Amino acid sequence: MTPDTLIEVSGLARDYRLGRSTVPALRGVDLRIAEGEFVAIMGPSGSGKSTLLHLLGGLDVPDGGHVAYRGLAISRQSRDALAEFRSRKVGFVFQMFNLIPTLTALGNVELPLAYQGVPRRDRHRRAREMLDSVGLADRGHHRPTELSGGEQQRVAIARALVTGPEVLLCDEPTGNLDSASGQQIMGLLAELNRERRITVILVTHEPEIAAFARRCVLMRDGQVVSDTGDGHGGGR
Amino acid sequence: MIWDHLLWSVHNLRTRPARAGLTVLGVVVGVAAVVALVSIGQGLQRSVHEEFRAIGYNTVVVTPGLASGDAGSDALALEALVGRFIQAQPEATGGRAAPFREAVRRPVSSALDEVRALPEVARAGVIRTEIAFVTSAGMAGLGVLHVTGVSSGIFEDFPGYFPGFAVAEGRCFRSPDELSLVLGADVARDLGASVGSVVRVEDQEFTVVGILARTTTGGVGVTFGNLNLALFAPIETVALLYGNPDRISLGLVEARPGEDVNGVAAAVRTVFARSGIPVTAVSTKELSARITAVLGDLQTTLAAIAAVALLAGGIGVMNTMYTSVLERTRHIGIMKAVGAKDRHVLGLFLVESGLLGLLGGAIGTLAGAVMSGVAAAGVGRTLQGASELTSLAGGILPRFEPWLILAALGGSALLGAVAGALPALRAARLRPVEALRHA
Ligand SMILES: Nc1ncnc2c1ncn2[C@@H]1O[C@H](COP(=O)(O)OP(=O)(O)OP(=O)(O)O)[C@@H](O)[C@H]1O
Ligand SMILES: [Mg+2]
Repeated sequence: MTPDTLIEVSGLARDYRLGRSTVPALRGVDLRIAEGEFVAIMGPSGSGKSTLLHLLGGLDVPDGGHVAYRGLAISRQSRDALAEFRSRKVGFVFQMFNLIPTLTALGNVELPLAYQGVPRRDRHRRAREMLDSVGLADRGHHRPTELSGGEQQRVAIARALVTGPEVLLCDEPTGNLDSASGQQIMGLLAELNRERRITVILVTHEPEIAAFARRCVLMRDGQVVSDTGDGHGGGR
Repeated sequence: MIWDHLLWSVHNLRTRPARAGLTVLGVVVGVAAVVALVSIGQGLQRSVHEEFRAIGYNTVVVTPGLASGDAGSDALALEALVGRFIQAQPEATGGRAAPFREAVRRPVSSALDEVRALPEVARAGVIRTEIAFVTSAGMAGLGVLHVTGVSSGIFEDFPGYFPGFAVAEGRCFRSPDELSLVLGADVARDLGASVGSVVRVEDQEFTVVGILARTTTGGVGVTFGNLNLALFAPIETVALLYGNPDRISLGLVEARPGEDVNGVAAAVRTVFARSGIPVTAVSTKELSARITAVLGDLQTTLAAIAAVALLAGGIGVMNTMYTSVLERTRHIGIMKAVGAKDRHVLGLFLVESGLLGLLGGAIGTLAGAVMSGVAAAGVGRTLQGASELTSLAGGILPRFEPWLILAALGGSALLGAVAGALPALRAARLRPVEALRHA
């Protein structure tokens, strides 16, 4: 049985305008990702990996082509609808962790729930449980600066997961971590993908990180140049 | 969500206490100025109203001036009263009196009798104030005082015009032409006079028949003024002493219940005009309304000036919020990445700027209350024209009506939110990816 297509991208283009010149970051990307996949996106710096990830998660809008999520063209949605999409379906994990420094770990994890209008008490409980599940039960009241890089990234993962998203979009999540912490994070992501059937799309430079994925998409100059899978749940 | 915004805003403001404090201070200055001015103005209006009410709203005030009865003469009367009111002079019409148009000039006292005889009049009284050179055995040298000639019975008939009037020793006048004086407490002390003493006014010897109780009741100038400094004599005695028996400083005429005060005013004007005494007669109600209106305009003008300070406070809030948005651009990107809508970001920054305004408003209201208390004491003293009467209870008490406090708080929160609107909109419209790339 072939799993359902989760995300389908066709002819995706994104140009950055810098003064008079335009930098084409994506030049016609076609890609299909099925539910439950664990995909690594690799490629040299500047090849458009982050740009693609942002478009997949509705954080940015394309200049050409479209992104369909479960058949729905999110690239044509209003700003509010995109925010709603990010809130309900997507969890982002960034290289720089992107935690809000003035909030505690718990506060950071609660934040996405606040935007969903979850009552304060539930928010607190769910954030606690989520921190617990990434092994940081006792770090709830610490601020990001009081945590190690690996711990910060686990807080970020807890924040991405707390809303129960269908897809995790990770942009070099181990890029700022030592290899032990990196392995720990990757173990966590692999487990989420395996146990909870969360689709994971991961941008990385490192082959040993990409090895956790079952499919690898290689990009160069804003295009996909090789793909070990076909979006039908295949891969290695 | 508003609660979340509020909590997070407090949190954010506390991470930059100095900046938040200075911004709030900017609002405080403006709000304090407005609150102080408005509360003093309210107190002043209230005092004017109270004093007129004490005199009685069915009363006609007669002042020297044109007797034509047109609007111009009313304006003159108003001017005279406002003049008194602001300069605390017992008499302020100066050279304004029009040349007499009638040859027959009769004494004020006969006009007064005629007024009293009018069927629609309950009671009437007049006073005439002159500058007096006074000497007494109990005092070396010469005193320059105001001597006030009063028609008989005026103290009993118009107690509201003489607040705090009470004879402590001796008695009041018995006949309208006796050579007697009733002294205010301070005047008696300064002249070294007691009941039975002889006091010379100009070159005439008078006997002191009564001394008034010391009073701390003062007013804003509608009523008689400082009784402690008063030197009363019967009006006809004053007329004999100074000549010009047709001179009058002020007249008070109370209408009988149910009578039209304006009709009484017209009748009074006619009587005085027939006696060759040009006067203006206006009801206390009318005068009170007009003085209140003048004060209201004055207050509006001052408040508008104070509002410029508020504007500066608002610009301060705007500046702070722009800085804050810039500083937190990356946070805005994060908020949006985890699902915040434009309105969530907008709400957060609006609440934050509104909070700055509200804090400024709360502290400003308190500061304004203190300022107006201090200022009112000063203004009250000036209005009394007497440095001694510092304990004037009935002077100007700044008034803090609930609406003033609510308006100050609500208005300053609104000011903050409005000042923060543009920065907040900018924050809300930020594109998430660009915000996230921000350092
Ligand atoms: N906001 C921007 N303004 C202008 N150019 C941009 C912007 N963002 C990205 N680019 C350009 O678009 C291209 C693709 O950028 P992108 O960040 O997607 O690359 P990447 O594959 O993620 O690189 P890296 O591995 O270094 O993160 C690059 O040439 C980059 O310089
Ligand atoms: Mg990148």
